[in-house]
Amino acid sequence: MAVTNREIYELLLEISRDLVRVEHSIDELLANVRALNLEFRQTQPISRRCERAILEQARNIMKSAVLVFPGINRERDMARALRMISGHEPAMVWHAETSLPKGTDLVVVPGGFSYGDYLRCGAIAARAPVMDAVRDHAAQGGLVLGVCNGFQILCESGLLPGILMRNDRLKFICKDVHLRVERSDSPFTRGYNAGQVIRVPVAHGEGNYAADEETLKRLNGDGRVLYRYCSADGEIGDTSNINGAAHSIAGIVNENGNVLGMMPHPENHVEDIMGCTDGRGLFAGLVAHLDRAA
Amino acid sequence: MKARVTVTLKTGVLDPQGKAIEGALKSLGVDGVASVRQGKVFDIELDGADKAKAEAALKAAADKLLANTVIENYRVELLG
Repeated sequence: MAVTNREIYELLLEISRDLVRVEHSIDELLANVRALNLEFRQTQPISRRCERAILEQARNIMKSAVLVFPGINRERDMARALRMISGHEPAMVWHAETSLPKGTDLVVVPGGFSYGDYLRCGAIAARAPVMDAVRDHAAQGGLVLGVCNGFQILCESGLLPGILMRNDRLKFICKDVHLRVERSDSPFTRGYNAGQVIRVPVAHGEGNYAADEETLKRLNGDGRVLYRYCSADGEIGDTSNINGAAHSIAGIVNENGNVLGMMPHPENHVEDIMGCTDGRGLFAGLVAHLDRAA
Repeated sequence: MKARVTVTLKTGVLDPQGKAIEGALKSLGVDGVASVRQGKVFDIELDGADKAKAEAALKAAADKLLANTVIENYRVELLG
């Protein structure tokens, strides 16, 4: 049967119409994928992507040391988080030691109640022999992270300015709080986006950050406040400022940016079983930082 | 030799504990309480009888440990 040119033309026309329809469908699909991807990026902590990419090549890169003082009780949580995310078993360093293990990249001062909070929180631990080694480590640019009682110890030791006062409502606070990550270009925040809101637990009675006006002005002006208490949607205000801290400060760094103190516990939100993994970004960011520096 | 170091909060530093005590005193009906600031007292016994040495040691103790001079003042007294 002969096919006329007219029929071929009609057929081709139909095929081309189909192709346009297919093209539209593909465009629609692609738009959906893009939207989903965007949504995923916005809702998932960046740390997961960051982590996958870096952990394969960066295993064993971060050598950490966790300080142990009498009365500290969060050192194992911290060690577990470090081990899980950096792939390296942290060294546990007793307070009476006078040096840190060779090649230590990160010193962590964990939370707890060193010396039963006697005198002032962290005051006695800050004068322990190992703290001189930590001061040397920090002076050479080494990373130091203090969490909760660790933050108090770093303030008392002079590695960070200011002090943690009694919570303004005098209550011990133990709950999840939201933190706004103020910048992402610090070793301690590069696993997050600037402005990202993360959820981590706090457990403290003395987390009310105070310093003189001059110091506060410098901390704010120099971008040394890395974490602030905020609402779930990132708003800073009296209602979200759980303990009355000046300028809702939850975490600050020293002048050189290599020593961070924070009241909340990122190490307690690192596994799905904990109900949230927002804390991973801090540790993954540190590994990424050291990976790049290496 | 006996000595006493008194550590007090600097003026202007918020003292939540002092405020709570102040409120409690008022609710107990203790008259005339305008405000309360909480501090610490350290009674220290020292070896030796050299007053100048004792004062230097107490000052060092206060500066190094007993007081956090970011928020606290201290006073040293020799009680003989």
